[in-house]
Amino acid sequence: MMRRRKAEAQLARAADGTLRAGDRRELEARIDASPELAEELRLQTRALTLMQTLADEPAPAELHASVQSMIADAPTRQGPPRRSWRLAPVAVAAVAVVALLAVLLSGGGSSAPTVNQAATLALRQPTEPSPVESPGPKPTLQREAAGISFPYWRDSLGWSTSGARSDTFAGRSATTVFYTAPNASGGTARVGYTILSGAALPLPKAPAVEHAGTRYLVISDNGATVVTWRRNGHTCILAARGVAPKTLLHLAAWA
Amino acid sequence: MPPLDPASLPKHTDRLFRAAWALTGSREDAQDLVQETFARVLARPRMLHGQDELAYLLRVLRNTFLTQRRTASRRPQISGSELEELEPEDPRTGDRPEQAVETRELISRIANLSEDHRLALVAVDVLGLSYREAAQALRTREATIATRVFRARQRIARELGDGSPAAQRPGGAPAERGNMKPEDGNKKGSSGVFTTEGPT
Repeated sequence: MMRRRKAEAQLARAADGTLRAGDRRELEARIDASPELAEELRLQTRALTLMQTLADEPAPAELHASVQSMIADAPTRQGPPRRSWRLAPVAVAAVAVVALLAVLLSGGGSSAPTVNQAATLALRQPTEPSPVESPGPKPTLQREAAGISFPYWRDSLGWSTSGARSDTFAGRSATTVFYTAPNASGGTARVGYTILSGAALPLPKAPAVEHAGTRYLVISDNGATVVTWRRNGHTCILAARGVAPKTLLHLAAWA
Repeated sequence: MPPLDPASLPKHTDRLFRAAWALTGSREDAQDLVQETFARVLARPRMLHGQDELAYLLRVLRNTFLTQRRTASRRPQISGSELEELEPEDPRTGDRPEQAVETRELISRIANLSEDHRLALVAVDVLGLSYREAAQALRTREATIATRVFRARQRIARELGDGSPAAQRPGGAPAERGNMKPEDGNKKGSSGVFTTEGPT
């Protein structure tokens, strides 16, 4: 068993040229006497050749843009991180007590911002007038957030803008544009599209649909339907009440 | 002991994407995984503790991958058939269809390897880490990494056709090539000395 594993490790290293000279000479002598070993070395080399084809595969431009955006939005701090084990034991105990109290007083819940919390912004009322629509060959609205333009949906999808609002959520600016369209019962359906600047929020546990390289998650929360995805490293949210998930996904795919 | 410099991250994006693609078997999942990895790394200052940057990123990528996989296994799935118009597209099939197919096949084979073998192969052959760096990043012994890489390559070469005349002959009978004549031990699934699927 030990000899076999040693031989396997040596063959792997021999194929990629990292085997030490002494070991290589020893292995070569064994290979000369063993067609089986020679064949195994050839398979290792063949696999390496196959793996080389991956080296030509660049990351999608969208991912590069997203990484740059995340770095630009990352919190900047001076100097190396504090090392907690250098704190005095009394200070450590005090911090632990405060942390325990904070957890107990908050009911034990996590304080990390969530997509569900941010989605409530898209369900509120508009506080600003509708952005100007700029129809054209590739129409958008004259409003953007985190470098992402809000979409123009009236001609293609029948949803017109009905207002906007600006909020701050978990240290991020949150821009929401509202759209309305007639619904099947003769009333008006409304959706809110919120874009959060800054680092994306954690992805929730939810069913996912993929389209053109983007993953859309569908959440039901207190009677509202929420679709969330990431663009350029930012969280985008569509939320509505009384609108089918399929409709929201369709809008999201056009956003 | 220098901290990881966020400004240096973009230069690793291509290699990390390839590693994530090989781990997940999906370009879309790979993008998500790399984004999540960078989000974790950028959440607070990171010390490298003597590790190579790429080896450090591999460790975070691996941990994020395992976390995502556990989360996905608990996540309810919905059928995409309800949403015909949202079928995903492969953006690469338009300009290089043949290479795209070959690459997809290779990725699919890697994604089917056992987790340990896949991670070792990704660390050494996709990211280009040394065996020692891979061993540190994956928290195992250098010799174990080498053995896992051997077995992962062996399986991929056999499954994708090893490129030898024997592999291309009808019936697959091995061709005699001097002292390179293969014996039973190099056939997939045989019990030869170097055909093992056991744990390392």
